[in-house]
Amino acid sequence: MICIENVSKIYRRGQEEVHALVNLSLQVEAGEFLAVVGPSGSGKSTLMNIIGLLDRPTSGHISIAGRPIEKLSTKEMEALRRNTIGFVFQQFLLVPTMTALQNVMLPMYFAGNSAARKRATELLSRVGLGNRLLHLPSQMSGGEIQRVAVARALANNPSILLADEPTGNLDSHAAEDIFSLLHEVNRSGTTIIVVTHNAELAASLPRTITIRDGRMIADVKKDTSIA
Amino acid sequence: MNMFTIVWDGIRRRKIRSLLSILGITIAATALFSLISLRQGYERGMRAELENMGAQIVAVAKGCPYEAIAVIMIGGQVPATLPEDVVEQIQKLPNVASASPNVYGAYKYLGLSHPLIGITPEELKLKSWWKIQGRFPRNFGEVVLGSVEAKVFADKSGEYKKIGDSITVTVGGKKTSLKVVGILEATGSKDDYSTYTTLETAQKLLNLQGRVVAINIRVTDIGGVPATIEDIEKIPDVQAVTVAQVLGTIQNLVQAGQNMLFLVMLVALVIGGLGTMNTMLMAVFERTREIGLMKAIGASSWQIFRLFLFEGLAMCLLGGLFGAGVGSLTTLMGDVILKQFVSVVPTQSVGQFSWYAAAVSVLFPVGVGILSTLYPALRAARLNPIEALRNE
Repeated sequence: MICIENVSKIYRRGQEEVHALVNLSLQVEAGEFLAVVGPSGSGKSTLMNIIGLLDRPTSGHISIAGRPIEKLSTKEMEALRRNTIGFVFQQFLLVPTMTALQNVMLPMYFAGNSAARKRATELLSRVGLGNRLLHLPSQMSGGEIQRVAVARALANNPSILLADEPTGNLDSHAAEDIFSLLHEVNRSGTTIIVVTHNAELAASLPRTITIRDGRMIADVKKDTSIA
Repeated sequence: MNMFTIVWDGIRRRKIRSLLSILGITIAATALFSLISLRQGYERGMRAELENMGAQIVAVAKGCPYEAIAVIMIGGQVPATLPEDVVEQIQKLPNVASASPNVYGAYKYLGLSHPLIGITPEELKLKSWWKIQGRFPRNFGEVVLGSVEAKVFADKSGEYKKIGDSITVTVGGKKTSLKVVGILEATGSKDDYSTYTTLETAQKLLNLQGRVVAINIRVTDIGGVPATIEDIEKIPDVQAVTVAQVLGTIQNLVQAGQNMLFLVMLVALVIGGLGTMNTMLMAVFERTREIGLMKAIGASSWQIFRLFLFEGLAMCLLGGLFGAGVGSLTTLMGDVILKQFVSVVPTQSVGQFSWYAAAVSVLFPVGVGILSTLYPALRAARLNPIEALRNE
């Protein structure tokens, strides 16, 4: 599903070169649910941006869903991102002036899906917000907003869901809620990569990779099958 | 959800700024609409007016011919006159079908000035559409009133003057009694505002015995007009003007003034466009994170570009539509305004709704909208999603 070989990413910050990722390799099979952990600035977000096709690596090979991305044009990257990747961000990034339903419909609008309203309604019911369809983000709790974000990430039926600290701004109860929701999404076949600082939640996942200074220093697979 | 939902969401969330941008465009579009439709109406009116003269050539005494024409069209002080025998000379010329002598002047009634025109039955050959109730003036002091004039003379009971009534007016400081022998049915031209009498009556009352102010000429063959003009101008102290020339000159004058106004309006539109550009740039700036988010959840750069372009366009389109609407209203009132400031104004209504004006006053703002939103939309489309998402 995701194949990363010897990927490096170098940023230039003024005069200084920042090696965000150094010769990192990673294989993720379809249907996996893995956590990426590591200290701030270790390159976790850069890795997510590269997997999420928001950024290109400086060197190395990547293929997502069987397609090598170095050969893709910007347009093709946009299309692949739209159809393959779903994002959940740490901040509650909903469009503040749109209802929960409209926020979930947005990715489907960009994909040209005409049955958006029906699917958005279904998705919101699935994340337990069937009674909040017409609420604005300002009328919902953090946990609810993040569930809308998960529903939105699933809108175009992606094969990969990327969550960058999805529970970072939530209390522990709401965080567990989101994680169990992600587990459920994973059980239906979606590959999920989640960046988290929450060691307890990370430990509940079958695979955890640890990154430090742009290098992978640990890749632990547990022999526990959730399904 | 469609593009309109998202575009409208963008416009709605900064109501005051959007309204101000729309207002700026509305003002420019209103001016554009009014100007175009007034010009069209003015030209149409002037043409109708000149056609209502029935003449193709007007012979007047040497001097400024346009001044003479202006007097003929709106009344006023007579600049110079011709001897009456010129009429006969012109009638004898080849290609002249009819030559109708006119004497123009004014009388006072209740302190207001009214045009008095002396004519002969020859005038009826020019104005075949005239319908006179009663009869044509034959004897001294007999008049035919234009349909509007007849109402001016309504007596205290509110009844209009009838055939057989007498009116007492002041001409040249002397009181005179005139007898109404006919009333001209409405023509929709300035004829409705005139009082017609015999040539002799007008000459005597206005102290112009043996003189005429203008001779309205119809030709048999319109192609022979230049030759006929040459023939007429061989008569000493006479000059001839074609109605087409007068029309052309008036149009040129009007055009020159309007080119200036048009420039002013373009400036107004440019300012409106800059306002829109500013609003849209602010919007892109404020919504940087949202744009990054939209890209992350699948929007292509082209889709982002289109959303912002349409947002600017929608504001300008609204401005244009409002402008055409307000313009339609002001144009209807424009008649009144125009008649107070411009001396040569057609009798016909100048302000008429015009689809051409509506189209121009909507399409120009739309063009301005596209131009002024291109840059902000391009900026939005080019945002790097990662940096945009990091933006606080």
